[in-house]
Amino acid sequence: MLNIYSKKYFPMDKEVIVLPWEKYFRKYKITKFFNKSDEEIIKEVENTALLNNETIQGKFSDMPIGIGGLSEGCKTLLCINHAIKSGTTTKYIFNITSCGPNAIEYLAASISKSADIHAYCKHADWGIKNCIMSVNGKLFDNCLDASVYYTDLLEEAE
Amino acid sequence: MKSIKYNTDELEIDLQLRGQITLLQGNTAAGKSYLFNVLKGMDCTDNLYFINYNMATGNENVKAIVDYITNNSDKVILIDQSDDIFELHPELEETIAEDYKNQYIIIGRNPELIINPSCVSELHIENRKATLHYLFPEPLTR
Repeated sequence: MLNIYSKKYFPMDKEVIVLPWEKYFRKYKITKFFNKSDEEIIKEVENTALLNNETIQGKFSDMPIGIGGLSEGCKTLLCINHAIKSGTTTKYIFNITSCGPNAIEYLAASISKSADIHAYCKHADWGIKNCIMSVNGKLFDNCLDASVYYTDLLEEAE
Repeated sequence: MKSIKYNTDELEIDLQLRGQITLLQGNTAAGKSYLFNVLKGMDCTDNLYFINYNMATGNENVKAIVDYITNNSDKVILIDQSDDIFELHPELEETIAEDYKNQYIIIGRNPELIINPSCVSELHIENRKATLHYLFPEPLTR
């Protein structure tokens, strides 16, 4: 399940990954461990194809481009997926601010089915999909209700 | 208000700006950073200035950016990954909030700048033509 926290509610026992691709990706060289699930993320979220572990089909140019050309949101999901594969998701709180509504829906409805993911987000544009997720421990059965609740928290924080 | 029009091998770009700050948001992989990089890679964009995460790392770099903003006018300043940049360097966000001499395209989802709702847009790329679609119709100023 996807668990999103506002900063006041961050679990103290977890490392905060502020820039997943910059920090986590470089440390663990995650492209070496790509499998079908990563291919699926790139297909569903980026709407393009993984050609090999370092190359994707360019979405707008029809040319192969380096893996670094993926959107920041998609890269964030790939880092989270690596943590799932290595069984380390409980260690981290991932910053998913760079994920747009389509990426957060996919994270909540698909990726988080196989593990508990802990995250924070500076926006509340989370889409509308039906799926179980939590905000500061409060359960919701769809992304829209969760995001409305989180919007109020963000406004309170300001 | 300004518009940005360029025709490149990769994209036909036609961005009509509204207000002092245009917020560019939307789905992951909509092409926001791609547009930023296409414009940044062009030679003939003297009136444009680009800020991305790599440029904004380090306090010296941020000071140089703040100086540039303070000492220039009538530029269109594009900022990619603004949420990450402003979290690291809130002073940059403050500088932009106080700047009425330049126009901005801010790629991000929740900059804590005062944004006029009519200046919130999403990028549409169809048949290699890039345009901004605003979420609200009436053009208002900041």
